[in-house]
Amino acid sequence: MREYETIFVTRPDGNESQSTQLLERVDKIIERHEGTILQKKNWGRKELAYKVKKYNQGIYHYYNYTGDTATVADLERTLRLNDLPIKYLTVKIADKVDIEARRKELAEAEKAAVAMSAVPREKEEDILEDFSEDSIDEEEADNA
Amino acid sequence: MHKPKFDRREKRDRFASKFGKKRYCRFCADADLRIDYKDGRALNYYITERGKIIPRRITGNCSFHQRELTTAIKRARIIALIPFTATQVTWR
Repeated sequence: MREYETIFVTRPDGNESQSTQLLERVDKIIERHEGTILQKKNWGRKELAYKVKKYNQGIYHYYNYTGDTATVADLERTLRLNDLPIKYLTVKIADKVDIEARRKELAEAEKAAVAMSAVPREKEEDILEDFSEDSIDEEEADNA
Repeated sequence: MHKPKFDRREKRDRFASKFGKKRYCRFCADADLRIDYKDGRALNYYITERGKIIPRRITGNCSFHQRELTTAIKRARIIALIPFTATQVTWR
């Protein structure tokens, strides 16, 4: 069983029942194909980097699960046909997975991430400090 | 159209002195730093104001991590965590 990660963004103006229905469907698909859900998260409403279908915000959902190619195909088809999701992306993480071990890893990574965000990040050197876009364009013009 | 070798080297030396920064790969140096396409805030350091990916000679990454970074940025763009171009953006 391969491990996959799927993220999909839903419209911010959907109602509760629609989204619970969608999520239930997703869960069922994974189960039906004998996969297991390793982790499921809702990132909530976030600002989108660009307008998608005239929306500026979206609700992000994250699934980490095991399955095979048929699982992914089925899942993506559902996301495409349903009009609640406006963006989706599936990424393969691994070819073989030990379910329990992976679950623990993810749970720990979760805790570590929460701990890290509490500590303020030290100011990293700014990569862009002596860099301006103009200098890149000049270089390209020279090479042309 | 093959450029003679000495031309390239000259240009590279000129360029290096222009920036003169010690370059090292952040990800090679710190094993804990992971490149994750889901982390929009971290990836923001590697794109310009216009949304373009910053080249490796500026960031100092090694080729392996620069390639990983590029795929991560491209994936993050698909799910709207970072923009494709700045004209599309109203935040920041």
